[in-house]
Amino acid sequence: MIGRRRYHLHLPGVIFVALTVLIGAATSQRRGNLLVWVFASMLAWIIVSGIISGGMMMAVRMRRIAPRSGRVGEPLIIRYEVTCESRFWPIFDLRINEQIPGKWKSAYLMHCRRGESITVEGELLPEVRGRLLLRRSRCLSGFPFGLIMKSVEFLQDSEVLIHPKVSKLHPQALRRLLIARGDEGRRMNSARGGGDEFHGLRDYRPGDSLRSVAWRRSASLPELVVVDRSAPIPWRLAIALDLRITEPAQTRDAEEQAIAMTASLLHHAEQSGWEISLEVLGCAAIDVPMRRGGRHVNQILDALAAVDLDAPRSVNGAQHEVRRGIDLIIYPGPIHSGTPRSYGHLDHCVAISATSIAATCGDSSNG
Amino acid sequence: MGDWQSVRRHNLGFALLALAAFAVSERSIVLLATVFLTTLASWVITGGWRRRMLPAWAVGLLLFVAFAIGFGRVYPTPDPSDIPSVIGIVVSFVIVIRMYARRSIGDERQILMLSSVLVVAAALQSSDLLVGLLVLGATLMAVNCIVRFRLAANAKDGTPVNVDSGRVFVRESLVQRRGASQDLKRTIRIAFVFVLVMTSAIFLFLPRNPQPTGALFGMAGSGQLEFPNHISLMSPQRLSPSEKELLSVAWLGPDGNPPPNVQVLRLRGAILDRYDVGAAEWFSRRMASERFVIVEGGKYQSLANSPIDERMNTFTMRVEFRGLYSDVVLSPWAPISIAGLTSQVYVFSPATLAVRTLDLESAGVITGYDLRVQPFASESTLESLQGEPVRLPPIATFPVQAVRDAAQRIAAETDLDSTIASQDPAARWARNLRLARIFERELTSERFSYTMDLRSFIRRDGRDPIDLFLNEYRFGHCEYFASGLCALCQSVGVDARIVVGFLVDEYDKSSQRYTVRESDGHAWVEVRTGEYQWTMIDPTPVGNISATPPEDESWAQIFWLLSAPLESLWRDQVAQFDARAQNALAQQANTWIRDVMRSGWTSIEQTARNAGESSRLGAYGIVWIGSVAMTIALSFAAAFIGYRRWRRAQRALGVTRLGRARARVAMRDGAFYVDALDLLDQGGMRRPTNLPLRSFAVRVASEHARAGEIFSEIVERFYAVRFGGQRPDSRRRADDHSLVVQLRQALFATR
Repeated sequence: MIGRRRYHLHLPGVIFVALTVLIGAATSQRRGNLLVWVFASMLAWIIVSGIISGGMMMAVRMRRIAPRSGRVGEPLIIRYEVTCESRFWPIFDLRINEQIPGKWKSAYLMHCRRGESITVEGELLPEVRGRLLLRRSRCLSGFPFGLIMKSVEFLQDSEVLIHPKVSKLHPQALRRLLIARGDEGRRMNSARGGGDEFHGLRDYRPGDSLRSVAWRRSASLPELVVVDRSAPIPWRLAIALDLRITEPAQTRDAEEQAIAMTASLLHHAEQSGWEISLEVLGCAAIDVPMRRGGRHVNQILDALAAVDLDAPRSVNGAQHEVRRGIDLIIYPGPIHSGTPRSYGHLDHCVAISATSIAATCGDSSNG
Repeated sequence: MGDWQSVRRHNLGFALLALAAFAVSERSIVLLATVFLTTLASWVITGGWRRRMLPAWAVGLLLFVAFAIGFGRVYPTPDPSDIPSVIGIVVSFVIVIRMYARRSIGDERQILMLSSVLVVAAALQSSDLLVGLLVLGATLMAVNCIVRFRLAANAKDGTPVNVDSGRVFVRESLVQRRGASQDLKRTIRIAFVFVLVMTSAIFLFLPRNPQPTGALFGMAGSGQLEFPNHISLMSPQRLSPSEKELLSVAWLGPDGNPPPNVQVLRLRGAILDRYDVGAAEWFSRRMASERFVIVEGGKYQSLANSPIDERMNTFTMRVEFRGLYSDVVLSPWAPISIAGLTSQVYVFSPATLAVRTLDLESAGVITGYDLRVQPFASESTLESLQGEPVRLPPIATFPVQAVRDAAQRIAAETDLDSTIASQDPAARWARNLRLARIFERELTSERFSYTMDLRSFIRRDGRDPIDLFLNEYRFGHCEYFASGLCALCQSVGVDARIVVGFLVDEYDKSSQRYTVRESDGHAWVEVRTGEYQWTMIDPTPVGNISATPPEDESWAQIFWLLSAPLESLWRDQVAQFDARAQNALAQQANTWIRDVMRSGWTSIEQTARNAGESSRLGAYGIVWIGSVAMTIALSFAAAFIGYRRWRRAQRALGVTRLGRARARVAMRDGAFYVDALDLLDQGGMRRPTNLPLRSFAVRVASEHARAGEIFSEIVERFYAVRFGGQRPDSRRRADDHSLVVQLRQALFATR
């Protein structure tokens, strides 16, 4: 949907207009017709600038192609499909801005032929986690002379989930955190099935792949035997993020730090091949089951991005049904938080503040 | 060639034009050769394979020197009129230095701005043809430069692209983009045309300064319909009188034939005898003795109260207006009777023998008049014209003390007592003439020089311009010399007045007529030397009346001497285009439009009448003709629309290069697809030219599911027909058409 069309007089335009007025004043004092010509041409430039940029911008159509998600501190690429619908004017020197706060690098289109569609990219550096609502985009151009800027606003609603910032952690971060629990985070058995590791031998059954036949062993046996293979069961990390309201209340920064640290830990674990799960205490129905893979991490990051700290939350001490098997509980606050937290039957897990994690697991190379 | 290379090339062109315009406006061949050639060489030296540039310290030093030179030219004698010249010279040097320095985007911008300043300085300095052409070229070149500069500068951050090591921004180039260069050139050409048309329109219609800056050569700047009735010395500047033809004059002797020897004619226009110190201008008093003269068409009407003997020494002058629209009747000394082609009321002033028409409304349409003149009018003739001795009001002593002092000083060199005017009339007239001659001798001496360039004639400390002319500058044109003489005369009680008119010597023997041009404008003085007699004294140095001094001759003027008609055209139509010309142009346009409309309507009426007569339709002939004309017009419009639609369909189907028979088949079989595209266009979904059809169908589906579904089917059908070799029969074509109907319903039924 096309919003407002506006002309903007910016500094070079103001200077040019001022010069034009000065020369106009000079023409009234001097008889030189050549000066009148110069004055007339300066006026003509202002008018022609408006005509050409106006005609050009009338034909601009723009469609935002926003990504599903981005991440705090990492450039978010937003694409725009710009179409020139004019049969007369091509588009030149077009800049596209989003009407949102934050560091924004405009998308720039140097040229688009008549009837052509071109995709350009702009960059936003998100600073805040959460849902980023994009509504107004402004196409701006000062072509041809840069004296008058003409803009067209396009109204198109898009929502981008901004994931919390993911910090780089020390390679031994998980080991350091879970050292109190020994190796409980890992299943010792492996399951028969797919994988590359040797599990055992069994009789051949129709349908088994010939490649799985253990030929050397079968040579000494009357029946064919095949190799059963298995995959190792990965390490598991179940994190609960405690965002229940405490007394005194945690600052918003501390809570955001806890969210970011949770995201970092889970991301780090997944990168290390662990299965991960997330539960958020205090917020309604955020429970991501134990799985692994990039898509699963994105799911978790989506969940963390969607945490609304302004929504009603339960208070500390209130009964909260926490899933069994939680390995790590992260809560916001300093290393030695003033109010001890109660986790009931979860006394086998490690509870640690976000600041502590940052202190113990932060990558020194990351500052 | 990269974008920046192109920008630099165009910037160099703009700078060269600006430098040339300024150098020509300065009339300095040295400056032109120096800066133009040096700048041109910079392209080879800094842009070639050598790429040799000045180090930063050298650039700084040279810039300092340039500014010091500029300051040095202004500081000793600060003169406001020199400022454009000094600024121009400094800017010229700065541009040359910048051309040899390492240039960033900011420096290129600086060169653009400096070149623009130079163009303005040139326009301030001169209105010559060559300067005009260069300024015009620079104006258009600036369009090109600024557009290219902006594109190149804005694209410096470029477009992000993904590479292995992350995202980098590469500079996008117009050269690399398909069709971009052509599009840019086309847009610049359109901008050229727009700027040219708009500039011309504004130039034509911009109100001009109504304040006159002079009487004679200021006619063009006065913006008044009448012949100027005053001389203003307020704003001295360089004048470039036009060669515009104002009048054509036939001069017949007493025998009714042109005299055998060509004489110089002095046509008197306005007579000015009062000086306003505050406004620094001469003006004329309205005399109570003025009388009306009613002239019937074609008949001579005497201007005298009593009969005048016209048998002896009476010349006839026939005046035709060419470019002058005035109520002033220009006449040599002394007119005795007047005749006009039409009946007219004139006002005759016995004191000055000046005639003007009363009917101001018809001032612009007077085609001419005839005059009988006695150049050597006797005392009795003058008495008949004036009725009684002219009783001029006592002329006050000239109101500027410094001028009075100068008059006393000059008169003191003689044995005359300039302080006391004699009561004896005869002695008084003799004294008048003698003092006037003394003052004339002083003004025509070597101490005074003639020039039309008064840019350095600066008014200082509130001093009167005549005082400055007589006591300090001692240069000027005829208005200043006439003002000086008249002021000196009046300072010592001599009755004197300034006459503004034309000094005509251009005689065409074939047509036996004088041609009066604007450059023939002149001012001189009349001194009273009798009861009725006034003697003409011209204090302007002889030989310099309509010529510029040698030092003011420019090489450009010499160069253009051979192309005087072009120069004349430039001066008349452009350089001297003023409020009067605006008025005349408006009148011409008005007349032309009226005539065209009238003749068009007459032609239509005549055609209709003829058609009615030939077809014997009588009064209904016009209706019949109108019906036929409307039918033809509608047929043309329908054919035009049909042709455009056919061409559009050809393009959409991609059959423009097919043979006629195959194209016709393709157009018939693929018509449904064109209709579908039209429908989508109407529905606000125009297909981008570079979007594949199936992708477009997906986009349509994202905006309108049902329409997308139908259009997908249409696309598949189109591919099958156009590229799959299918030849649909009539039934199949009907099915295809039904898809279009469904699409229309899907798109518009829900709205």
